[in-house]
Amino acid sequence: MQDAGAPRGWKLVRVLYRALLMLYPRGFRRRFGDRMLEDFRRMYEARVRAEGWLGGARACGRITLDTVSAGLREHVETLRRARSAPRGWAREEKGDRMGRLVSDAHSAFRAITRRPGYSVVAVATLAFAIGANTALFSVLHGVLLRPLPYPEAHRLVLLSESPASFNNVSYPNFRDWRDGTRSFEEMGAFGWTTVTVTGGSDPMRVSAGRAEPTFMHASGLEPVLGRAFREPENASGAPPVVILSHALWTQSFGADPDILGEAVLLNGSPFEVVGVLGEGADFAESGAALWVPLVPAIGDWVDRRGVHALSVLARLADGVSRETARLELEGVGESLSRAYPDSNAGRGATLVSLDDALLGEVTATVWLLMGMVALVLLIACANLANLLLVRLASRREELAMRRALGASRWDVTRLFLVESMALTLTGGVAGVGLANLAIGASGHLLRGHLPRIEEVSLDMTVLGFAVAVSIATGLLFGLLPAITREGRRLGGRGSAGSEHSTIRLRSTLSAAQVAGAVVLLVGSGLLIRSFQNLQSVDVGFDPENLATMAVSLSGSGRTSDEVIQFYRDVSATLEMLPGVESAAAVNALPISGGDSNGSVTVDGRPFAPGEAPTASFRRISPGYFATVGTPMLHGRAFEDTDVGEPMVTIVNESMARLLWDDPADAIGARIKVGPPDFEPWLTVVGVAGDIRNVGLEIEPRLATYEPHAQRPWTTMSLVFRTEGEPAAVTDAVRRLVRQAGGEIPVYDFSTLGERISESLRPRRIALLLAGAFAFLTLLTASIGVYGVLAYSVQQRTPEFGVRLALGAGRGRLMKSVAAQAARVILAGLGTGLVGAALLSRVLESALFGVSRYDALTFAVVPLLLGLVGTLACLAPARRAAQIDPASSLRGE
Amino acid sequence: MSEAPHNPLSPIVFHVLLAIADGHEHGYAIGKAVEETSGLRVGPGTIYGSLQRMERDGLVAESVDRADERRRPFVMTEEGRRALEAEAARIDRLAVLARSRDLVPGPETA
Repeated sequence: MQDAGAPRGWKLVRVLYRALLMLYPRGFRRRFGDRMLEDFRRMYEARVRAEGWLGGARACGRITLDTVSAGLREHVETLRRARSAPRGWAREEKGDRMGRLVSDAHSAFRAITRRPGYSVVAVATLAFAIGANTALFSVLHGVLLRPLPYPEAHRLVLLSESPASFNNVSYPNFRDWRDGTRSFEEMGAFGWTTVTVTGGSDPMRVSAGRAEPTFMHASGLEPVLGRAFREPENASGAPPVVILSHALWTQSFGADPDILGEAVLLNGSPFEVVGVLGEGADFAESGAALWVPLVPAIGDWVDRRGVHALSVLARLADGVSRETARLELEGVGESLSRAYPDSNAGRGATLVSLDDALLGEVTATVWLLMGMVALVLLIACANLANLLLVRLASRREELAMRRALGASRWDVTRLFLVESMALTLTGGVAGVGLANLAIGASGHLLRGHLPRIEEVSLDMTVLGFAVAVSIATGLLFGLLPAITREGRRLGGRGSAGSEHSTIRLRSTLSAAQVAGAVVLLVGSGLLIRSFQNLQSVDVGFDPENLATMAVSLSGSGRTSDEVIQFYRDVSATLEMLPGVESAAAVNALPISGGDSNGSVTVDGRPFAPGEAPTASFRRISPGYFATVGTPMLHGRAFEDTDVGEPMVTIVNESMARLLWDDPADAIGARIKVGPPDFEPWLTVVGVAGDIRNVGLEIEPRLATYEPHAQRPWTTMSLVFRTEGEPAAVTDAVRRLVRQAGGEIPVYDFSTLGERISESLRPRRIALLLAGAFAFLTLLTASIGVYGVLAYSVQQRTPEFGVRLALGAGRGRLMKSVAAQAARVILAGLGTGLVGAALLSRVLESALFGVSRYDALTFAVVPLLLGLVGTLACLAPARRAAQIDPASSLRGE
Repeated sequence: MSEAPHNPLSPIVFHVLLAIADGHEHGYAIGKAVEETSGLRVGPGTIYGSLQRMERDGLVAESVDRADERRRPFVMTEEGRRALEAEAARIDRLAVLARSRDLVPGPETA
């Protein structure tokens, strides 16, 4: 069969499969090899056509498993028959070849057990390297490579106003995109909110999705019980309906199958249940407990082009590329920003694939760690190669004897192949075990930090990967003795005088290990420095003994005035609790990962279209800044008298500096935040210090604060500073809030310190992994250096003996060993530092407050290596110095 | 060893025989048919390994005629057909046995 029209990648895959076929007994391979190759080609082609390159990869995984299991079975079978059958018959069936393989296996076993220490080190290194690779590959596969669980996910795109972001589309803009484009089969707006659910068990504050019927359809959120939303339900004034998530249905409504048609209370109003989603059905891991139609839920936003707060999901029409769709959408976006400069100046329209939108952040980190573990594997391979070369050298005479007795070069090579396979497969099995543990642990550690983490598992594809990696490693280093010049000489003729070239090869391998360790050390060093910088970052408030809990009054039937009064009273009563120093309320905590933004208008200072800065806005009670420990730089904090007119605001330092030459001039200015036709003028009464409101790594942006008494908000976080550990007063606080509010949800208790620490968790895990990899490679590399030195001293014993006899001092000998160590380490160090400098580019996005050429890191790593190198050469140098010239010259 | 009774057949052998009885005679086609009827995932190594063992047991034979040297088809021997029939009868008896205990519903092709 010709390869004309062969699928992509087939040529490489064919070479790999040919190599795999070597695992079969020769007779079997001769008889069926061509046919198996042809069959696999058809299988591969079919998978690639059906599923693209991922299908190809799956086919490769499957064929690897097939080959390993079937190959093993054929060997066992041949072996069994060779044993049981009469001798003549066995010879006919090439049983003697099997006999040889068995004896190879025996001699490999002997070779491995003869030096158990070294073999254990090799297997442990391999187990760790293969385990780390398998674990990370399972993450890579589960999180990034597998298609998202939505129907035809590759055609889904997320549309946003530019610059690309989440939740920044206004409904009228969405409507014009939908009506003005033809690249999309369907397009639906959606957004998130939180609501209080009553009617089930306890009143609960849950997150909810607001979505159009088209969104529900495109994202595959189809009810398993009841029906989907209907188009007329997505209109202002339509009778309110709701679709429950499976989780809410089972937890709060006892999985009642008769719930359809019943009413549940959302924020106090009745909504008719029309459907229940399937178990686990969700979009983008929102955790939404229920879904309501978008248009009735967003009120007058439907007509407010300036409220940029929604997201849009769309499905590309059949055959339309993302690029084409983007161009069309951008065109519409541009004409909209010309037509509506007030709301759309400087805002275009753009789209990203759903993959990029949901996984973009983690992609770099996962690939980065994958690169690191690949490096770890390479170092483990170098270690194994070193081990085999030692074995090769020490068995030179035995091998020469075998050759002399008629063994072919292949016979000798096979000897090593079997040995390296035994090592790698043992390492591989142990590695898969380790990976399984690691996957289980990471599921707990990373929940909520890594999207799709619960989809990560040790499935067949991952196992196939582990097997393929193990086999490739074994083949590579089993063949090394056969393909290197030194190896050939040793295995071939057993000529004398090759120790030096063996030492040279081993030195090179050791230097390569050192280089790899340097790259990982520098990488972890940079991550450690970033982490330190993040921990010492000035967050703009004092998290010590600062605790918080969220309270929601929505759906409680309170009027605005009652809401204002409630939060004022609660803050005041909290402050009377023993152990509580002060208390206040805010609608969105610092380091909370999100912000509400609006464009800024300054009275008397019009900005050019599109030039207006955007600022976030928060609602706070008067004691907020004093409670969280943020200084007022100019003007005053809010007071209880800030009610009614005039409406006031406080801006942060960054904003005051950007908009006024002297920040103090901000006081008294009038500004608006948000659509100018709707927002009232606010008079600036104070300038507060910058707070990192979004996250530790995000520089403070422009921020404004409004008094809760003038712009009430039903769901607030209470913050309170305690005299001692906040945990001591939690229960009292919770009781007090419940007393004051009655049947209202009180939730999300934590300290600000915990929140900061939690926001650093993914980074801490990445750091821990990188550090562990670096430490282990350093260990491996130093063992490698030690090994090559010890071997070299052993080989040079006669030479040293002569030099001692001729009057050389023992110090000289030690120096000569040290010089050799220095050569290996310096070569590795130099290569490693250059490599690290080049490779640190991939780390750049993960660094914080440190240059990728950070001098401290690049200085400490060589020092560390110097120390480790000294330790590694100590014992060999001592041994060289203790050589007894008389016995070494006698050849003992 | 060809004297020994073959039954019960291993599932893969049974499905391979079934595939050959259906007229498939080459490894790839047999493999696909086996995947369809058994739901097992089998690769070329498994298929050819089984074929070789079945050939040794006298259940199938590789015919050597035809123009294309490389694509020698596998055919079922008389013994193979007997083994397949015996296996089918055995499974049938087991099914009847299970059904008589009300463990499985009866055939619903009414």
